[in-house]
Amino acid sequence: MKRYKRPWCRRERGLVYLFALFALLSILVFTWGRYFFPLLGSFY
Amino acid sequence: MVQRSARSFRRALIKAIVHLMAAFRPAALFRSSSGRLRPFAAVLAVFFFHLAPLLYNGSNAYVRIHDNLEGEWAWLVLLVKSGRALDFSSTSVIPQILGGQPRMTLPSGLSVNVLFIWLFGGLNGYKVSYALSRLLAFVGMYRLLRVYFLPEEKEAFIRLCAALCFSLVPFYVQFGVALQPFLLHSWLNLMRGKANWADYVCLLLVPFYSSIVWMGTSAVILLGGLWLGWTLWKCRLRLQPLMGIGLLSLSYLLVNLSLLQLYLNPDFTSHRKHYDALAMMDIHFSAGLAEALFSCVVSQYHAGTVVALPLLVLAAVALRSQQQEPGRSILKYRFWQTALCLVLIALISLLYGLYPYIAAPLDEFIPLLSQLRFNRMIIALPLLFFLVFALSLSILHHKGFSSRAISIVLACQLVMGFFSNDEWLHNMRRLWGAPVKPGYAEFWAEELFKRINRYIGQPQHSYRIANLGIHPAVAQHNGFYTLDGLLPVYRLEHKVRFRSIIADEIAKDPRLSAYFDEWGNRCYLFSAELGLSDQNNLIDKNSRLALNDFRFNAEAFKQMGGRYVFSALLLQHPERAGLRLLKVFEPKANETSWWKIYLYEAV
Repeated sequence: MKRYKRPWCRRERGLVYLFALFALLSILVFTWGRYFFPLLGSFY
Repeated sequence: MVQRSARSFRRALIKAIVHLMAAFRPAALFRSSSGRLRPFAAVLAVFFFHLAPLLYNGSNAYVRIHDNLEGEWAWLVLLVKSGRALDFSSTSVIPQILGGQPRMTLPSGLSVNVLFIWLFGGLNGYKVSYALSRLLAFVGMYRLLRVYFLPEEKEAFIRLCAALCFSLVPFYVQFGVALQPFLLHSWLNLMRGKANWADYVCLLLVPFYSSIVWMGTSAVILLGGLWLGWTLWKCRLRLQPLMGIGLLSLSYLLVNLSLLQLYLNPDFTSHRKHYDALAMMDIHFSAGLAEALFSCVVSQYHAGTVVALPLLVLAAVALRSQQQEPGRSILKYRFWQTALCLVLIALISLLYGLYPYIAAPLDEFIPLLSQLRFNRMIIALPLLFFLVFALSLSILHHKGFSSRAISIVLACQLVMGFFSNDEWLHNMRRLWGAPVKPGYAEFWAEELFKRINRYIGQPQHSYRIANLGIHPAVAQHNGFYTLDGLLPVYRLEHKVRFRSIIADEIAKDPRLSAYFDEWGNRCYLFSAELGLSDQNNLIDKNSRLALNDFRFNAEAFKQMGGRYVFSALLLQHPERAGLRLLKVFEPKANETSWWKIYLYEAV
């Protein structure tokens, strides 16, 4: 039997979107940020 | 060959991703047929994905350079190679660094890292230490959360993922961030009067795998502050935790006795006497506040970068929802635990950013404040961030947040953890076939430097060298004796003499002269044309950079025993600097080297 999944409340959705956005930003900034922000180049 | 292996890796990685996508539910891999999570499999998978790039890259794996290969790790390797790691004599000298400095200026040999280097060599020792520190971070954090923060069985998943996120933090293996959860756990046992012999052993052993400067002073101040706060709050005196702090301090002092001896030695004048607390940091109040805010949202690189802004938003949402519907008493307890961690994060970050304002007015009465910089408590930030993270998630979980939403948040935090770990990222880049920083073997370029040594043809101890565009640690590692280098403490006299070599060059750029005069741990040849950046000591063999106007006092250099300059870039007019180009050393096809060295002789 398929389990019922309740829809997410506004806070849940907001936090999930926020974390997903920051995960995506982390990938972009830490991988390619060194070409735009010289300070990042010391490490990344 | 390297390109082919990178290509095959790329193909394998893409294939694996396609398979995972085809399965559509990657999480199913870590669930049993009954739908229960297989935590051991999940932890193993994350550890494998974390460590595999470092191990797979073999001798050319990327190891962090800043303060590590150019400093902390290079010193330990040099100590083991020279057989002076356990030399406690006050007269012993390491002649290869900065024209010869007392052995006591280098880190203690009573260190787990020294043991690993001795057993496995420089690179493999680092890999073992890296893996061990991550394992300790994970186990310690999981244990701390289970006993003191999230003891309920249904919170196991949050504990597990928060501990995994903490193990991904890109901390330095020498500083001891990995041991913080163990240390806090043992100390909390002392606070509760539940300590056993293992807790005392933990307090005794932590100094062998951490730094007194970063971890020792910070742990003593923070735990002492917590003890004092608790004592005043409860109006009760508990001596056991205070004794624990005393034991920890004693152990740190014994392990680092040579450093203490150095400070008490009247014949040794440290270059730190010339530190300028106000000038070496940003003196504008707004800049200090910005620094504090920055630490709050991304931590600090010595402690380990953490993308903390979403964690703080998560904590705010959790605290708000708890405030609106108080509910169970355990949640009230967690509310105050989260709030305490957030207050500590704010205080530590403010202290870090505004430290000059505290140190400078007191500099006259307590010079140690600016010489030793007690704002290094910033090293506790990653631990506090992930405690806040785990506590906030548990509050939200109790408030009815779905497991699916919490799983996604945890997965996103893991992604942030992987990509903010520079060593993992650079090793992935190497596997992908697009490296931007040198690997371990490329960095030391042993074959290339053997050729330089053969070309010079004199015993290496009979002359001194200096380096331009390349970290002095590379030449030191290859047996050369350098006048430049990076040390946390060295003779003031050497700094003053070395300054006369670079005085004209650093006079061109006030930032360079401030960097050297007011700090000076990096006693390097600087170039005003290149400016002040870490990248200026990593100039690769394909670079076409050339310096048009490099000022260098060759006479002062020769008076200090200097003879050659190893430069990673061409000087257009070496004669103006009193130098003569002898030969250009380019790496041969069978040599692994990041560098192309222009060998100049002082004339």
